Amino acid sequence: MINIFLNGESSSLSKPETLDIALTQWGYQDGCYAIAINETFVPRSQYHQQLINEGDRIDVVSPLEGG
Amino acid sequence: MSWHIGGKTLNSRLFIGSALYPSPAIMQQAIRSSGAEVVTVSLRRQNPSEGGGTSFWQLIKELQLNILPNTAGCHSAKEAITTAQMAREIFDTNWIKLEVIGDDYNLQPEPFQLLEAAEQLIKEGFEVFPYCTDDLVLCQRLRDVGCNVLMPWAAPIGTGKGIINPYALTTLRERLPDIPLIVDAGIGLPSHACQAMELGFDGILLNSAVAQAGDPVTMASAFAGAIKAGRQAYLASPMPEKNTAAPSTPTLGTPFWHQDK
Repeated sequence: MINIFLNGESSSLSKPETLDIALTQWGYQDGCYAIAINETFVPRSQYHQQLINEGDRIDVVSPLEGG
Repeated sequence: MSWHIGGKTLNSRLFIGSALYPSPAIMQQAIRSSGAEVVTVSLRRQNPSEGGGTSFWQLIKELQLNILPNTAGCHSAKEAITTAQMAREIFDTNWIKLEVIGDDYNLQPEPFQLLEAAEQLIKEGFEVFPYCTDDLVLCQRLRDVGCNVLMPWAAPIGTGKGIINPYALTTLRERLPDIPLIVDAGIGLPSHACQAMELGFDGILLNSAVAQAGDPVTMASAFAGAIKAGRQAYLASPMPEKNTAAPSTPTLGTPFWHQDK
Protein backbone atom coordinates (compact mmCIF):
# COMPACT_ATOMS: atom_id res chain seq x y z
CA MET A 1 0.00 0.00 0.00
CA ILE A 2 1.35 3.43 -0.89
CA ASN A 3 -0.26 6.67 0.20
CA ILE A 4 -0.44 9.63 -2.12
CA PHE A 5 -2.35 12.88 -2.55
CA LEU A 6 -4.68 13.07 -5.55
CA ASN A 7 -5.85 16.60 -6.29
CA GLY A 8 -5.05 17.59 -2.73
CA GLU A 9 -6.88 14.73 -1.06
CA SER A 10 -5.45 11.62 0.56
CA SER A 11 -5.65 8.53 -1.58
CA SER A 12 -3.81 5.25 -1.95
CA LEU A 13 -2.77 2.52 -4.32
CA SER A 14 -2.65 -1.15 -3.33
CA LYS A 15 0.85 -1.41 -4.80
CA PRO A 16 3.26 0.79 -6.75
CA GLU A 17 1.85 1.45 -10.20
CA THR A 18 2.74 3.45 -13.25
CA LEU A 19 0.72 6.57 -13.83
CA ASP A 20 -1.29 5.21 -16.75
CA ILE A 21 -2.53 2.25 -14.69
CA ALA A 22 -3.23 4.43 -11.65
CA LEU A 23 -5.29 6.83 -13.74
CA THR A 24 -7.46 3.98 -14.94
CA GLN A 25 -7.95 2.81 -11.37
CA TRP A 26 -9.00 6.29 -10.33
CA GLY A 27 -11.54 6.45 -13.14
CA TYR A 28 -9.81 8.79 -15.55
CA GLN A 29 -10.54 7.73 -19.09
CA ASP A 30 -8.91 9.11 -22.21
CA GLY A 31 -10.23 12.52 -21.30
CA CYS A 32 -8.95 16.00 -21.69
CA TYR A 33 -6.55 16.35 -18.80
CA ALA A 34 -2.90 17.00 -17.99
CA ILE A 35 -0.87 15.92 -15.01
CA ALA A 36 1.76 17.20 -12.64
CA ILE A 37 3.46 15.15 -9.95
CA ASN A 38 4.99 17.12 -7.10
CA GLU A 39 4.42 20.29 -9.14
CA THR A 40 6.39 18.94 -12.10
CA PHE A 41 4.64 18.41 -15.42
CA VAL A 42 4.45 14.84 -16.68
CA PRO A 43 3.95 14.64 -20.46
CA ARG A 44 1.32 12.18 -21.62
CA SER A 45 3.99 10.22 -23.48
CA GLN A 46 5.60 9.33 -20.13
CA TYR A 47 2.52 8.07 -18.29
CA HIS A 48 3.36 4.42 -18.97
CA GLN A 49 6.81 4.69 -17.39
CA GLN A 50 6.14 7.22 -14.63
CA LEU A 51 6.10 5.26 -11.37
CA ILE A 52 4.06 6.66 -8.52
CA ASN A 53 5.93 6.84 -5.23
CA GLU A 54 4.90 7.09 -1.61
CA GLY A 55 3.82 10.62 -0.73
CA ASP A 56 3.55 11.87 -4.30
CA ARG A 57 1.27 14.83 -4.84
CA ILE A 58 -0.60 14.29 -8.09
CA ASP A 59 -2.60 17.00 -9.80
CA VAL A 60 -4.97 16.13 -12.63
CA VAL A 61 -6.27 19.25 -14.37
CA SER A 62 -8.79 19.89 -17.12
CA PRO A 63 -10.05 22.90 -19.06
CA LEU A 64 -12.30 25.26 -17.18
CA GLU A 65 -13.52 28.80 -17.62
CA GLY A 66 -11.00 31.54 -16.98
CA GLY A 67 -10.40 35.23 -17.39
CA MET B 1 -8.00 46.50 -40.03
CA SER B 2 -6.10 43.34 -39.19
CA TRP B 3 -3.15 43.17 -36.83
CA HIS B 4 -0.60 40.58 -35.80
CA ILE B 5 0.15 39.12 -32.43
CA GLY B 6 1.79 35.92 -31.28
CA GLY B 7 2.19 34.70 -34.83
CA LYS B 8 -1.51 35.12 -35.63
CA THR B 9 -3.42 37.66 -37.68
CA LEU B 10 -6.51 39.04 -35.96
CA ASN B 11 -9.26 41.44 -36.89
CA SER B 12 -10.72 42.04 -33.44
CA ARG B 13 -8.74 43.81 -30.73
CA LEU B 14 -10.86 42.37 -27.94
CA PHE B 15 -9.71 39.32 -25.99
CA ILE B 16 -12.50 37.90 -23.86
CA GLY B 17 -12.68 35.64 -20.83
CA SER B 18 -14.91 32.62 -20.43
CA ALA B 19 -15.70 32.84 -16.70
CA LEU B 20 -18.52 34.16 -14.51
CA TYR B 21 -21.34 34.08 -17.08
CA PRO B 22 -24.87 33.32 -15.90
CA SER B 23 -24.92 30.15 -17.99
CA PRO B 24 -22.81 28.28 -20.55
CA ALA B 25 -25.25 29.27 -23.30
CA ILE B 26 -24.96 32.96 -22.45
CA MET B 27 -21.18 32.58 -22.38
CA GLN B 28 -21.23 31.31 -25.93
CA GLN B 29 -23.63 34.01 -27.12
CA ALA B 30 -21.70 36.80 -25.45
CA ILE B 31 -18.36 35.66 -26.82
CA ARG B 32 -19.85 35.50 -30.32
CA SER B 33 -21.45 38.92 -29.84
CA SER B 34 -18.11 40.41 -28.82
CA GLY B 35 -16.50 39.49 -32.11
CA ALA B 36 -13.42 38.43 -30.13
CA GLU B 37 -11.07 36.01 -31.82
CA VAL B 38 -9.19 35.10 -28.64
CA VAL B 39 -10.77 33.52 -25.57
CA THR B 40 -9.07 32.88 -22.25
CA VAL B 41 -9.45 29.62 -20.35
CA SER B 42 -7.92 28.03 -17.27
CA LEU B 43 -6.92 24.66 -15.89
CA ARG B 44 -8.40 23.36 -12.69
CA ARG B 45 -8.38 20.15 -10.73
CA GLN B 46 -11.10 17.83 -11.92
CA ASN B 47 -12.38 14.54 -10.60
CA PRO B 48 -13.35 11.91 -13.16
CA SER B 49 -16.95 12.01 -11.96
CA GLU B 50 -17.15 15.65 -13.02
CA GLY B 51 -16.50 14.83 -16.63
CA GLY B 52 -12.99 16.19 -16.79
CA GLY B 53 -14.02 19.60 -18.11
CA THR B 54 -15.22 17.99 -21.31
CA SER B 55 -18.52 19.85 -21.59
CA PHE B 56 -16.96 23.27 -21.07
CA TRP B 57 -14.16 22.53 -23.47
CA GLN B 58 -16.66 21.37 -26.10
CA LEU B 59 -18.51 24.69 -25.89
CA ILE B 60 -15.28 26.61 -26.31
CA LYS B 61 -14.14 24.50 -29.23
CA GLU B 62 -17.42 25.16 -31.01
CA LEU B 63 -16.52 28.84 -31.08
CA GLN B 64 -13.41 28.08 -33.18
CA LEU B 65 -11.35 30.86 -31.63
CA ASN B 66 -7.73 31.18 -30.63
CA ILE B 67 -7.23 29.81 -27.12
CA LEU B 68 -5.23 31.76 -24.56
CA PRO B 69 -4.81 29.58 -21.46
CA ASN B 70 -3.98 31.35 -18.23
CA THR B 71 -2.00 30.46 -15.13
CA ALA B 72 -4.52 32.09 -12.80
CA GLY B 73 -4.03 31.31 -9.14
CA CYS B 74 -0.33 30.60 -9.37
CA HIS B 75 1.83 32.23 -6.71
CA SER B 76 5.30 31.21 -7.85
CA ALA B 77 7.30 30.89 -11.03
CA LYS B 78 7.43 27.13 -10.50
CA GLU B 79 3.64 26.79 -10.30
CA ALA B 80 3.14 29.02 -13.32
CA ILE B 81 5.71 27.18 -15.44
CA THR B 82 4.16 23.80 -14.65
CA THR B 83 0.67 25.11 -15.37
CA ALA B 84 1.85 26.53 -18.69
CA GLN B 85 3.40 23.19 -19.64
CA MET B 86 0.15 21.40 -18.83
CA ALA B 87 -1.83 23.98 -20.80
CA ARG B 88 0.36 23.57 -23.84
CA GLU B 89 -0.31 19.85 -23.88
CA ILE B 90 -4.07 20.13 -23.40
CA PHE B 91 -4.79 23.10 -25.64
CA ASP B 92 -2.09 22.45 -28.22
CA THR B 93 -0.92 26.05 -28.21
CA ASN B 94 2.27 27.78 -27.15
CA TRP B 95 0.31 30.86 -26.06
CA ILE B 96 0.14 31.43 -22.32
CA LYS B 97 -1.38 34.26 -20.33
CA LEU B 98 1.17 34.34 -17.56
CA GLU B 99 -0.26 35.25 -14.17
CA VAL B 100 1.75 35.04 -10.96
CA ILE B 101 -0.12 36.60 -8.09
CA GLY B 102 1.80 38.35 -5.34
CA ASP B 103 -1.01 39.67 -3.20
CA ASP B 104 -4.30 37.90 -2.67
CA TYR B 105 -6.13 41.04 -1.60
CA ASN B 106 -5.85 42.95 -4.85
CA LEU B 107 -4.53 40.11 -7.04
CA GLN B 108 -1.50 42.19 -7.88
CA PRO B 109 1.12 40.41 -9.99
CA GLU B 110 4.34 39.28 -8.28
CA PRO B 111 6.87 41.02 -10.53
CA PHE B 112 9.98 39.04 -9.64
CA GLN B 113 8.39 35.61 -10.02
CA LEU B 114 6.59 36.80 -13.15
CA LEU B 115 9.85 37.82 -14.77
CA GLU B 116 11.54 34.55 -13.80
CA ALA B 117 8.67 32.50 -15.20
CA ALA B 118 8.50 34.55 -18.39
CA GLU B 119 12.17 34.10 -19.09
CA GLN B 120 12.01 30.33 -18.58
CA LEU B 121 8.85 29.83 -20.62
CA ILE B 122 10.23 31.83 -23.53
CA LYS B 123 13.28 29.56 -23.49
CA GLU B 124 10.87 26.64 -23.75
CA GLY B 125 9.20 28.11 -26.83
CA PHE B 126 6.13 29.72 -25.30
CA GLU B 127 4.57 32.93 -26.56
CA VAL B 128 4.16 34.66 -23.22
CA PHE B 129 1.36 37.17 -22.63
CA PRO B 130 2.32 38.49 -19.19
CA TYR B 131 -0.35 39.97 -16.94
CA CYS B 132 1.61 42.72 -15.20
CA THR B 133 1.26 46.00 -13.42
CA ASP B 134 1.73 49.31 -15.21
CA ASP B 135 5.28 49.65 -13.83
CA LEU B 136 7.54 50.86 -16.64
CA VAL B 137 10.68 49.10 -15.47
CA LEU B 138 8.92 45.77 -15.02
CA CYS B 139 7.48 46.08 -18.52
CA GLN B 140 10.90 46.90 -19.91
CA ARG B 141 12.41 43.85 -18.21
CA LEU B 142 9.64 41.60 -19.53
CA ARG B 143 10.34 42.90 -23.02
CA ASP B 144 14.07 42.38 -22.50
CA VAL B 145 13.64 38.68 -21.64
CA GLY B 146 11.70 38.16 -24.85
CA CYS B 147 8.03 38.95 -24.30
CA ASN B 148 6.50 40.07 -27.59
CA VAL B 149 3.42 41.52 -25.93
CA LEU B 150 2.71 43.07 -22.54
CA MET B 151 -0.57 43.09 -20.64
CA PRO B 152 -0.57 45.76 -17.92
CA TRP B 153 -3.61 46.16 -15.72
CA ALA B 154 -5.93 49.14 -15.77
CA ALA B 155 -7.00 48.31 -12.21
CA PRO B 156 -7.09 45.16 -10.06
CA ILE B 157 -8.90 42.16 -11.52
CA GLY B 158 -12.66 42.28 -11.23
CA THR B 159 -12.89 45.80 -9.82
CA GLY B 160 -14.29 47.44 -12.94
CA LYS B 161 -12.69 50.72 -11.90
CA GLY B 162 -11.27 51.54 -15.30
CA ILE B 163 -7.86 53.11 -15.77
CA ILE B 164 -6.75 54.21 -12.32
CA ASN B 165 -3.39 55.53 -13.50
CA PRO B 166 -3.67 57.03 -16.98
CA TYR B 167 -0.23 58.60 -16.58
CA ALA B 168 1.41 55.19 -16.17
CA LEU B 169 -0.34 53.69 -19.19
CA THR B 170 0.43 56.76 -21.29
CA THR B 171 4.07 56.47 -20.27
CA LEU B 172 4.15 52.80 -21.24
CA ARG B 173 2.81 53.60 -24.68
CA GLU B 174 5.29 56.42 -25.17
CA ARG B 175 8.31 54.51 -23.89
CA LEU B 176 7.47 51.16 -25.48
CA PRO B 177 6.18 52.21 -28.89
CA ASP B 178 7.09 49.02 -30.74
CA ILE B 179 5.59 46.27 -28.60
CA PRO B 180 1.89 45.39 -28.56
CA LEU B 181 0.26 46.51 -25.33
CA ILE B 182 -3.02 45.00 -24.18
CA VAL B 183 -4.84 46.34 -21.16
CA ASP B 184 -5.77 43.36 -19.05
CA ALA B 185 -7.98 43.63 -15.98
CA GLY B 186 -9.90 46.39 -14.28
CA ILE B 187 -12.06 47.44 -17.22
CA GLY B 188 -15.68 47.96 -16.23
CA LEU B 189 -17.29 49.98 -18.97
CA PRO B 190 -16.96 50.32 -22.73
CA SER B 191 -15.79 53.90 -22.15
CA HIS B 192 -12.83 52.54 -20.14
CA ALA B 193 -11.86 50.30 -23.03
CA CYS B 194 -12.29 53.14 -25.46
CA GLN B 195 -10.04 55.35 -23.33
CA ALA B 196 -7.29 52.74 -23.35
CA MET B 197 -7.52 52.38 -27.10
CA GLU B 198 -7.43 56.16 -27.50
CA LEU B 199 -4.15 56.10 -25.56
CA GLY B 200 -2.74 53.88 -28.28
CA PHE B 201 -3.11 50.48 -26.68
CA ASP B 202 -3.36 47.62 -29.13
CA GLY B 203 -6.10 45.62 -27.47
CA ILE B 204 -8.23 44.93 -24.43
CA LEU B 205 -8.61 41.74 -22.43
CA LEU B 206 -11.66 41.62 -20.20
CA ASN B 207 -14.06 39.18 -18.65
CA SER B 208 -16.09 40.42 -15.67
CA ALA B 209 -17.30 43.58 -17.40
CA VAL B 210 -19.18 41.46 -19.91
CA ALA B 211 -19.96 38.35 -17.89
CA GLN B 212 -21.33 40.24 -14.88
CA ALA B 213 -23.35 42.78 -16.85
CA GLY B 214 -27.12 42.45 -16.61
CA ASP B 215 -27.16 41.58 -20.29
CA PRO B 216 -23.77 40.08 -21.19
CA VAL B 217 -24.61 39.59 -24.86
CA THR B 218 -25.48 43.25 -25.42
CA MET B 219 -22.56 44.42 -23.30
CA ALA B 220 -20.18 42.32 -25.38
CA SER B 221 -21.38 44.11 -28.48
CA ALA B 222 -21.01 47.47 -26.74
CA PHE B 223 -17.37 46.69 -25.93
CA ALA B 224 -16.70 45.67 -29.51
CA GLY B 225 -17.98 49.03 -30.71
CA ALA B 226 -16.10 51.01 -28.09
CA ILE B 227 -12.80 49.31 -28.87
CA LYS B 228 -13.21 49.99 -32.58
CA ALA B 229 -14.07 53.61 -31.87
CA GLY B 230 -11.08 54.06 -29.59
CA ARG B 231 -8.72 52.56 -32.12
CA GLN B 232 -10.04 54.77 -34.91
CA ALA B 233 -9.73 57.82 -32.68
CA TYR B 234 -6.11 56.99 -31.89
CA LEU B 235 -5.29 56.55 -35.57
CA ALA B 236 -7.06 59.82 -36.36
CA SER B 237 -4.72 61.79 -34.01
CA PRO B 238 -6.94 63.57 -31.48
CA MET B 239 -6.81 67.34 -31.21
CA PRO B 240 -4.48 68.77 -28.56
CA GLU B 241 -6.09 69.54 -25.21
CA LYS B 242 -6.07 73.22 -24.21
CA ASN B 243 -6.78 75.14 -21.04
CA THR B 244 -8.45 78.10 -22.70
CA ALA B 245 -11.61 78.18 -24.74
CA ALA B 246 -11.43 78.68 -28.47
CA PRO B 247 -14.61 79.35 -30.45
CA SER B 248 -15.35 76.97 -33.24
CA THR B 249 -17.73 79.36 -35.02
CA PRO B 250 -15.87 82.11 -36.93
CA THR B 251 -15.73 85.38 -34.99
CA LEU B 252 -15.30 87.44 -38.14
CA GLY B 253 -18.64 88.89 -39.16
CA THR B 254 -20.36 88.22 -35.86
CA PRO B 255 -23.64 90.23 -35.93
CA PHE B 256 -24.23 92.98 -33.40
CA TRP B 257 -20.48 93.34 -32.86
CA HIS B 258 -19.32 96.85 -32.04
CA GLN B 259 -15.82 98.34 -31.90
CA ASP B 260 -16.29 99.62 -28.35
CA LYS B 261 -16.95 96.21 -26.87
